[in-house]
Amino acid sequence: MAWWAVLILALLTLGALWLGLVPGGFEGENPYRRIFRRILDGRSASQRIDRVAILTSFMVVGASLCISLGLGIMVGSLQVVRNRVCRFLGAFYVEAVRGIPVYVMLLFVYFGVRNLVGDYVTLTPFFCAVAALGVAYGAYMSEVVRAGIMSIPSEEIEAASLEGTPVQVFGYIILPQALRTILPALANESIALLKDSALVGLITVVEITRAAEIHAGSTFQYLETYAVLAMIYLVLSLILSRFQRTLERLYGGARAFKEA
Amino acid sequence: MMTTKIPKCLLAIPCALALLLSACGGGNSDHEEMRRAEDDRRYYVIGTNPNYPPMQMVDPDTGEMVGFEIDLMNAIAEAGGFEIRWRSVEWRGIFAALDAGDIDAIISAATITEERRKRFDFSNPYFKISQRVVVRRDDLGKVSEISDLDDKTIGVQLATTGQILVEEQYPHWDVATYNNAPLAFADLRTGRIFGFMVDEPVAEEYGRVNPEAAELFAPLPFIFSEEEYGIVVRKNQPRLLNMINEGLRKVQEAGIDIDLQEKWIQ
Repeated sequence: MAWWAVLILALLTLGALWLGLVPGGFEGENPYRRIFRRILDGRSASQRIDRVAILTSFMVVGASLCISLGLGIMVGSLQVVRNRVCRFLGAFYVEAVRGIPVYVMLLFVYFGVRNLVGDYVTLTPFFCAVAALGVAYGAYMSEVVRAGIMSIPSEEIEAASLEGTPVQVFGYIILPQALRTILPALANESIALLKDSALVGLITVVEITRAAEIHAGSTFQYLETYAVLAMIYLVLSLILSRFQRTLERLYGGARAFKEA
Repeated sequence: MMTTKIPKCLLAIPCALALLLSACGGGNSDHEEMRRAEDDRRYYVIGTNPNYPPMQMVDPDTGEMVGFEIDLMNAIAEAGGFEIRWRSVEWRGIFAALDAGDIDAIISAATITEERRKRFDFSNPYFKISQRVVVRRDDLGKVSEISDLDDKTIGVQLATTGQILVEEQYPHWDVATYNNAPLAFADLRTGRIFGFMVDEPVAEEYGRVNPEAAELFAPLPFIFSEEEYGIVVRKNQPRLLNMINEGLRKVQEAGIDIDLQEKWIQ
């Protein structure tokens, strides 16, 4: 219910802006249509930018989500194994990375690491954006994964170990149950990643926030531009939360409450 | 023992809160000053972005803001008979800060444009510039006319006249947009961009912050525009605008602006 209410509110706001139904109105042409085009497209700043801004946003978020989920599951599991070296490495990564702001990480990867390895590999802005976001959120997500694994009773794992190999136990007993428990927390991190993708304009990736900043900076339509931008982010994160609810329904995350 | 210890610990909470509140109060004193009626203002807050040598920069040794416009504005305030305080503001948020009343005026290499005039008032112009493209010294020979830049990546700074100029006149260029000039110079140094479109004084004098930069970068000979800098105020501040213009007139009559240009720019 609440989800639909927020979605309808956001879509109504976007619709009203598109039609120019705003208090006070505006002089001359409706500025909002141009703002929509500029934010979603963003290519008017340079026709040679090969992708529209909204697609760049999707690609940055999609690629860094995959990396951070993979890293999160790997490192989260690494921290609960018996081998001390593995545990140390996992914890080291988490403690080192989660203490650094994503903004600083972007600066470091794009402007800093270039000086070390730039002669051998080309670090494109897109690659640096995905690497920084993926590594940072991998650390956050690994803690969530670790919490999920630790929520499984040790008796259950011991019982399963009598029958299966460690890999089987992990793949069939531990991981499915852990993922079901931590689905809401993982979705939270994913939405946080979507919002932090707004930072990557810093390293010249033209995603929707940078496209909006470019438009607002030359037209001074700050209020109008950022209102549209905020609503676009809201709709995008609502899509992610719907995805979360669907997964919860499919894998029974919420069923425990209904049965109890 | 326990009963005496617990209240002591709890006492720390109101103390911390009081400290926090007084700290907030201290930070807000400019705001209180800015709420005063225009006639009783004791000082005005001037915003600038100290990432733009030689116009303004942070002196690496003292940590203070120095530069042509810092000296110029101090001279204008002295001649115009008003007090100022400086505040450092990122360029991309500087007009919004003026609009919101966080600062009273901007002196930060702000070109007078029609679009900006619709929203703000400008003082009389104090400096003429053009847009230039800086490249690495080794690349100077690779460009003999502007169309040689067509297949190159050119950096611009967000919300500057350089960015708007490229957007309107060279939309076929491949453009990278930076938050501030030092970030663009960082990418120019490593060759991620071929050139950086920036105001002429910065194009010529960026080396002032960093002697290495003076050897690395040089501007191409092309003149892309003719622009004039002005000091920006909100539209409802006629008194401040008059004082600035009066101070600027006296500074220009005394030739102080020319001395400052020689000190910082030529």
